[in-house]
Amino acid sequence: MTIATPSDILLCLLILALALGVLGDANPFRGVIIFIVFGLVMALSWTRLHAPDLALAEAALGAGVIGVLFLVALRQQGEEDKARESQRLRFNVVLVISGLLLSIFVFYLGALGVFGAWKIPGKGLVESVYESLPLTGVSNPVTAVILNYRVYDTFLEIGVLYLVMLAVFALQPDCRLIPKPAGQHDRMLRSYARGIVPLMVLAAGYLLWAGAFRPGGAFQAGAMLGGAGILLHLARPALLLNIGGAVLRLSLVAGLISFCILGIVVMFLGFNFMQWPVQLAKHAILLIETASTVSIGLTLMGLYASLERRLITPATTRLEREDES
Amino acid sequence: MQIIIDLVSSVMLVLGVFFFVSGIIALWRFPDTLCRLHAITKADNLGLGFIIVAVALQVGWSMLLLKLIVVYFLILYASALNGYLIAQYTHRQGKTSEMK
Repeated sequence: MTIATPSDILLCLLILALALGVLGDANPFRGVIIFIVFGLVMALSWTRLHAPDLALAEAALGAGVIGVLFLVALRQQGEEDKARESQRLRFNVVLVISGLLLSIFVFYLGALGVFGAWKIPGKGLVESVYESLPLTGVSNPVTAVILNYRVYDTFLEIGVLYLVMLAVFALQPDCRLIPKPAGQHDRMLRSYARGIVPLMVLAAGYLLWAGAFRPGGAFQAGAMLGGAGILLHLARPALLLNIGGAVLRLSLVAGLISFCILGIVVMFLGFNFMQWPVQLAKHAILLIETASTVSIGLTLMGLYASLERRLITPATTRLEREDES
Repeated sequence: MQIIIDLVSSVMLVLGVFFFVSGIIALWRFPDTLCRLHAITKADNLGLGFIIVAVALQVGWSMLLLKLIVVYFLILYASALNGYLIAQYTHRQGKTSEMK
């Protein structure tokens, strides 16, 4: 066990301070900015804990994509919050106090030794994970856990992501009413997107492939792909609408479908649902990861795009109404 | 030889940190968006540049050096575009001179 260095302690304090800042700040915009910083510091701390997988995912998803989604949602809220600021402050005080009470309670439970009951007897699972690593088809223990030992978890996660996307689509106003966004004629952004998006797709492919033997994998690659998609959407808003409906929908569910199909195919070979046979494990995992990467990337981009489109709608309907009257 | 490299790279590291810290102070103290942008882009480029030089001196000739250079230029490209986008947004909002 290594001893915490002063910078580790500083990192911990910084995380606590930023967390309090996210919850306690009366100004939601500043809260979101602090949240993004919080995500980056969390990524740093994951790196410090020798968990580069989580660091990558946290930086790309926690700080990047979710930050952007928050900012878009915030812009939508507009003016109405300003009137309620004082109320919000009180509400935040309640949040902070309840958080403190909760942490005191958790410390109390810890002091009582409740958490000891959850400890796995013996040396834990680390050794058995490494022992059966050759049977999983990959050499990175994290990927082995995510896509082989606990593949059911990941399957459900992909399912949840799909459900979120479905809900956002369902809540969207009628697509036929929305005019195609004119497209931002921003040449700088376009030329940047032209240069960077291919690199980002390449990096996503690398992260996906690297997942087999070093930190990386479907979620990281998907987040990278989603980032590339958001950039494309910003540079050429009409692009997403140009993709054929069936292709888009199929790609959105590709991850979930590949899980289901492969899970059932191995049942015909005489295994349990999603129990990868040793010889096929590598291919199965690669196939699933690729499909999931595409789905995750498109889902993240779709979430952003649909939020943006809702941004556009109220203004246009207002304009139409003015035209009628 | 190693001592000289260490010395130079630590000087570069200190310089880089100095630029970052001054950038943060500028972000904090400067009156409006464009001023802050002006300060932060310089601090970013120079601070990161010095830190990359410091690290590059430590790694020597290797693949890592190439990666560092690529990282530096990608960040330069991104921060130039970011500065442009923020400035354009501010310009469109007509907030160029908040202090008046």
